[in-house]
Amino acid sequence: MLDGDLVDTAFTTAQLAELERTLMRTGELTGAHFSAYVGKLPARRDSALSIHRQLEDPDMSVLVAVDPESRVVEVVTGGMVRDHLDDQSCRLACLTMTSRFAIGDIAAGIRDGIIVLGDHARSLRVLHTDLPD
Amino acid sequence: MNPSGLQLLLLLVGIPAAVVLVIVLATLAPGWTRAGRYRPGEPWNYEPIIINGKAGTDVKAAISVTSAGEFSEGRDLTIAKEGGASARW
Repeated sequence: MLDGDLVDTAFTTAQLAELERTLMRTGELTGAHFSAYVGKLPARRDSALSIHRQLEDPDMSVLVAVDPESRVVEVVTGGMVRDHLDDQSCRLACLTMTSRFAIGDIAAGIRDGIIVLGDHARSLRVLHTDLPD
Repeated sequence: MNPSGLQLLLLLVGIPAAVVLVIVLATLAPGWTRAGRYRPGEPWNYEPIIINGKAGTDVKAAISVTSAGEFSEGRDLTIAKEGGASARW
């Protein structure tokens, strides 16, 4: 769901639809709720945390917050999601995103970052691939 | 019927020019309708947007609270149990 369909955004309708699809699909695959925020983050991490806590179920939510003007990206994982999606994976997703952001492609960067997060969160759930001790 | 000088000019110059114009327009027109592409370092003059978030999430309030140096809903952000990562580019 887009919050405010008529806001002046830098993204095309197709980009927004693709992002929303990716976020929803990743959410379905992992069991967590994925959201993205693009706008100012004046207090950087604290701003991202504040937005994350306004989500429906913060403990089960992942927020990717991007401030293109300050060139900052923050990934916030909820308390329960953190058990399935470690900070190392989030750093990898940040790396993926920043390489796209550096050439000005914000929408594709977020999409790729979400895919990386989804892959890592999902891989932890595949228990049948574990080898017995 | 032999074409006059003006007709010949239209035939040999006008038609190719029209074809070129159509091709140029077809190439450039999508760029005019597309939202302006962001380039790193440019100011971001767009409304904050949250995608796939809860309807009615008051992003501006969340931002203004933290920018004022206070804490969201009275909860101390410094003892956050949340995980994640940060990066700059």
